[in-house]
Amino acid sequence: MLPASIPDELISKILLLLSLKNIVQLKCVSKSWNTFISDPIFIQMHLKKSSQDPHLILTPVPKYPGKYPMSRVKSFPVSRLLENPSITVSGDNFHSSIGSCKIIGSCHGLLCLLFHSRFRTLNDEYRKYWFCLWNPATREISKNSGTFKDSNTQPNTYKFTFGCDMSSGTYKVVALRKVLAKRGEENKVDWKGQVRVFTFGDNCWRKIQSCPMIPVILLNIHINRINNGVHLSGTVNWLALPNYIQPAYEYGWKSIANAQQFVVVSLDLSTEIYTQILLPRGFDMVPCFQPILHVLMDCLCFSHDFKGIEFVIWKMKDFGVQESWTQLFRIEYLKIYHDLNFYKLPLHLSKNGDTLVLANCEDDRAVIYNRRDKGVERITVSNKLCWFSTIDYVESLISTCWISGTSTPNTSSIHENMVGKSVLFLTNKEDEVRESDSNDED
Amino acid sequence: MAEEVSSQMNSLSISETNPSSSATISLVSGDDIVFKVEPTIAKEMETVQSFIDETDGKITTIPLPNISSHDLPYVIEYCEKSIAGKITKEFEAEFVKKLNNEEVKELFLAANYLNIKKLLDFLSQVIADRIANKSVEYVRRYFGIENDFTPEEEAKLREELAWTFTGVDPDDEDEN
Repeated sequence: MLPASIPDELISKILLLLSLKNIVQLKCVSKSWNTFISDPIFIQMHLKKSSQDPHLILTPVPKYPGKYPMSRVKSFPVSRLLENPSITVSGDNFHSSIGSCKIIGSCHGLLCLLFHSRFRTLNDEYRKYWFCLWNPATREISKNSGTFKDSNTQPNTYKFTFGCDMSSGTYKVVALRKVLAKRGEENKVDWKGQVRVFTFGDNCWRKIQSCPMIPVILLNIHINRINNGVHLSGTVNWLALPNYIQPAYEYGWKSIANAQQFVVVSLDLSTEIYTQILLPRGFDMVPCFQPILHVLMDCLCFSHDFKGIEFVIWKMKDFGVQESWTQLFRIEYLKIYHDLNFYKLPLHLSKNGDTLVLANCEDDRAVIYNRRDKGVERITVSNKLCWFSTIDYVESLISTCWISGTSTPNTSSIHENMVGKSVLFLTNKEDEVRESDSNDED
Repeated sequence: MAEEVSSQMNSLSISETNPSSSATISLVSGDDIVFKVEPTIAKEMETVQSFIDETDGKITTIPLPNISSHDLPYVIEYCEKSIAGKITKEFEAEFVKKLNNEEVKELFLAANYLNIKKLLDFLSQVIADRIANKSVEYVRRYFGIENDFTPEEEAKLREELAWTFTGVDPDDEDEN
C-alpha cells in the first residue's frame, strides 16, 4: 500500500508534541525535514507551545566572585515542583564545557552568559568582560561577543540586563553603572546611572542617555543579590529613586521621606527611550526593607513589606498603566517563615493564581505558599543552589547565530566613554589573575 | 477487510430505519458507498456542515471523495461518542488499538479534511506517541519519506546531533 503523505502543516502539529531533543534528532530524516525544523515559523510555533511549560534555572553558589561553573547549573519544569513540592528536585544537569561564568538573563530559551576575568600586564591591571548566547536545549553557543575592558577591577561594577528588542528581533545587553555627576552650579555631586547598550551582531557598545533616576540596585543598601534589572517584553525595568536621594547604610530606607519617591524607570529596548511608571497608589508607606520588581505571569510585579509585618505583592495588569496595579497577595511574614526574614522573591505563580513559589534570601531556600489554605511547604533540592537568583526559562529551538556568520565579536571596539582608563588595544602579554573567594568582595 | 466494511454497513442500515431518517445526511465515500448519519454528526464535521449551510440545507448528500468507506465508519463512530460526551481515555485507547499505522495516518488525513478538531488533536497525539523516541529510519518508514541526504551529508549531520541519539528506543516490528 502506498503510504499516505502528510502535508507539512500536519507534520508540524505532530512534531510539536515531541520532546525538543526528539525534534532535533528528526532533522536527519530528510533534507526537507531538516529545513522545516530549522524554519523560523516552526521555531516560533514551538516556542509558543514550549512557553506553556515554564522552567526555572537554578545556579550554584558562586565560588569566585560573580561566576560559577555552568556544569552545576540546573533546570527543571515548574510543574514538577507544583505537583509535588515535598519531593527532592534534583533537576537536569547542563552538560557543558563552557566553564565558569554567570547567567545574566534568559529570553526565548537563550541564556546570556557573562564571562569576566582580571588580567595583569606589565604596566596595567584591568577586568575583561565578554558575553555569549547559549541555548542549553540545543547545546548551541555563540561566539564571544561584546568584549570590553575596564580599569576598575571590582567584579560588581556593572549591573547587566539581557533582553530582546521586539521590533528588530535582536538581543541586547544593557550595562548600568554608578558614576558621579555634578549637580547645577554648586560643586555638589550626585550618583547617576550610566547606561550602555550592546546589540548581539554589532561590534560595539553604545552609550545612551543616562537613566533619569537612580536605580536602587546601584545604591547597594544591605542586599546586593536582587535581580539587576527586570526584562519584560522588550523593556528593562528598574525600581528607582530621584538622583538626590542618598540612603545611608545605617539608616536604610528610613532616610527616604515618602513612598511616592519610588518609581519604575522603564527602558524600551527598541526606541531606547525611558518612561516612568508610577507604583500602586496603595503603596503609601516607606517599607522597612528594599522593595523588589519582578515578573509573574508575564506581568510586571512589585513586592514590598508593610511595616515589616506583612509581605505584599502587586501586579500591573496593563504595562505602564498605574490604575491597573492590583494586589495579588498580602501574607504575614510569620505565616511563611518561622524566623523573620524579609527579603523574599516571588518566583512563580500557578495559572489559577493560587500557588506561589517564593524564594527566601537569607538561607537561599524556597517555599510554596497556597492562597486557599494558607499552607506553606518547603522545597528541598539535593544540591546547594541559589533560589534567590532563579532565572525563568523556556526550552526553545532558537539559534544563537543572530546573523549569518559575518560578525567578528572578538575585535569589539570600546566606546571611548565606556571606561575611563581602559586599555584599548592590548599589545603586552596579558596574564589572567586567579581569583579566589578572598580576593574580591562579591 | 471486506467483511469488516459490510458489518459496519449493517450497523448503519439500522439507523436508516430510524423514524427521523428523513432528516439524515448522506455522506458518500470516495468508493461510492453511502453512509446515512444524523445531522448532529454532520455538525461535528466542519467541512460537511459548511457545505450544508452554503446550500441552505437543501442538499443533504455530500460527496467525500478523499475518504474511503473503510475509514468513514471510524470517523462517524468517534463523532457519535463525541456528541454523547463519551470520549474517555478508555474509549480512545480501545479505538486506537484497532488501527494500524497506515489506518491512523488515513484517519488523521480524513479528520483534517473534514475539519474535526478533536479527532485531529487526538490522532496527532497517537502518531506522536508512535514515533516518539524511535529511530530516524523508523520515522522515515512511518511517513514513507525518502532519505535524500548523501551518506556524507547524513553522517555529518548525525555527528553534529550526536547528543540527540542517546536513549532511542529499538524499532518495533513495522505493522505495514
